[in-house]
Amino acid sequence: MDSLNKLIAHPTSEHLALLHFVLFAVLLVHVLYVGLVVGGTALSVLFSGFAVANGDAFARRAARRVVMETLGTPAAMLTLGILPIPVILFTCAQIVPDFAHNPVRFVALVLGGAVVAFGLLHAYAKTVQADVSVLKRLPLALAALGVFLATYLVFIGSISLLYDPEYWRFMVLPCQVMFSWHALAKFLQFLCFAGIAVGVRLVLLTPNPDDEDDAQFVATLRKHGAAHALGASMGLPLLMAFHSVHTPVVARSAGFYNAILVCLVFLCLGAHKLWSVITDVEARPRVGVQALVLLGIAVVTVFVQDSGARATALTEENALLVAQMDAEREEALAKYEAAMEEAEGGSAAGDGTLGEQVFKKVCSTCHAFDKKVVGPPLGEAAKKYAGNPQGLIDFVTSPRKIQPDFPNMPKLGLSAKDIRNVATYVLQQVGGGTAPVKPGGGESSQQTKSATPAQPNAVPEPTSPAATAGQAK
Amino acid sequence: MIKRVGGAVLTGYFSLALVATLGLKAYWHDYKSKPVQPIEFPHVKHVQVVGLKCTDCHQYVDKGKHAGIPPMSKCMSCHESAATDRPGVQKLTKYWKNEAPIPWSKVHNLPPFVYFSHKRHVKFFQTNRGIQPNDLCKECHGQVKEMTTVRQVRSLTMGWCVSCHRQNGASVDCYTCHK
Repeated sequence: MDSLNKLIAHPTSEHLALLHFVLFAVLLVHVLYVGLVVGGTALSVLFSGFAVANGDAFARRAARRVVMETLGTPAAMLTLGILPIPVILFTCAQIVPDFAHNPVRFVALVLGGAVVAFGLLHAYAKTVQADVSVLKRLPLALAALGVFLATYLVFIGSISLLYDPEYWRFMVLPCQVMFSWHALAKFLQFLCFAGIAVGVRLVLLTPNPDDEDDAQFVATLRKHGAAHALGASMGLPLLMAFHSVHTPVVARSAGFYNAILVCLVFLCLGAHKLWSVITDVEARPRVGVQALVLLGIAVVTVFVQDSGARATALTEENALLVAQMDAEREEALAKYEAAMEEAEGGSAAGDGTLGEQVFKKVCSTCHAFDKKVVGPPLGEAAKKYAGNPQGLIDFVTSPRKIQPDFPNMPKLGLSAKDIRNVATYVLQQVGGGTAPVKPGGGESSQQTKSATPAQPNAVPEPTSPAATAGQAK
Repeated sequence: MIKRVGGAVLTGYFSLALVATLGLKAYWHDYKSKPVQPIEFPHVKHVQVVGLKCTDCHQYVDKGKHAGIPPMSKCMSCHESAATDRPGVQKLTKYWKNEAPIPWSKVHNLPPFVYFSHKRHVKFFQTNRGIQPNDLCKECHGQVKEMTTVRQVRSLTMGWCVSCHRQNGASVDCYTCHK
């Protein structure tokens, strides 16, 4: 796990924003494709069942056509069905950021299930093409559907768990994800997406111009598709309401509810278009395209809502990562500046005039020379550094509590040069003289004395944030 | 006719869903969202920049049931002179001069039938896990050091409490929390 965690980069805020966007985009494409595949297989099984029970010729033909239109080629299965899972896994690990966190580990498990499910589905598509009897090919389809549903219940649950951080450490087994209300609501939403995807695909079917019967067949199939998409669209508002009740408060925001409102408006408009397709068998293909666009916007809104919920839930955790990155960069920059000054043989003594400016701007908020303000009067406190400006520089660089009667002095974020100047000014004022000081401080200047200055952006030790977090624990 | 009736039913159904969502949003806004505080206290600045520890201000966390809010005199010991140009500090000074308490909104609320002691939890983790009070706060309160005004990041539901009690071998007897 540690070797995997070394792959996690130090994030900046831009990096994190990009990761959230990549996760949103890859999930959108992947989940909709898998929804289309699952919906197509389920519908084909239904039609096959009708064909076996009633000997219905339309159902037999429809079962075959649905599979051909929805499953896609093996290349599509690989690029849209299987390859996005490792991408999602790495993106989640970067955001969280640890491969050891349970939601990330569960996503890794899904990869195996998805490969098996797509393998079974490919075999099913081959039996359909070869016109194998329905009874022989149905077990394959049912097995593929079973593996898909179990795998994607864990997958959707794990992704939903990303915005429920309080349960990360309690969800030890994948089956625990399966039985949370939160994950169940998201999984049922996924089934609605499957219904919408396959329904709209059938609404957009075009008949074969060389086959006269095909026009009638396609018109009926469109009607079935519109009915499926409409049913799924009507189920979605109920599930969104259910989900919004079970979404952790930490992931909710005003935008979370606004996304539901936008989604409902577009779902309503899309549902009207689907209703037109159902009531008017000869409905123009343009209506189908309009339904596709409107429902597409509604579905994208749900993914935007999820992405926003993840970002809201992880706000502080992500801010902490960015702060760690900034601190490491500042430290590297300070070392670089110190090493540069030393390499140039720069003036070791500070400039009291420049130091006075810094003192007035920063230090005088809490310090005066002759009286207590927030901190102790410098006339007394700084005297002990007389002849030892490096001691004062070290203290200002890394302040610690010395006098129990006064609050901690904060780190001021001053550059090494400013600290040296202000130390010179303070010691001049208290009559401590200006003995030469080592640029860059005691220990750090010792370490960098013989080294070539490193680039400011180069972080010295490539430890991953997850490894750092592990050490902290 | 069927087309028109169906269209009306669809519009009615989605309108109901819209109204329900607006209701849910209003409920969240009034009861679940981050409370508005009289002063936007920047925890991020006091912890990350000034370097204060949680226990520097919430000093009763290992001594009693409540962690405690610092007295205004503690704030004024620095802010009598530090950052006096900030609107938040000016508000604080006004409360101080008027000798009026700051009406903070409570962020973490437990039902009245739940007994919870900060001291008990802090001592348990300090003794049995070697976790110091300042490193423990984030388990229940999140990364407060990255927050401006504090928000609740844990649900504080019974399921969550019990999960943690089980994981740490603490009692899950009803009487532990419901006296």
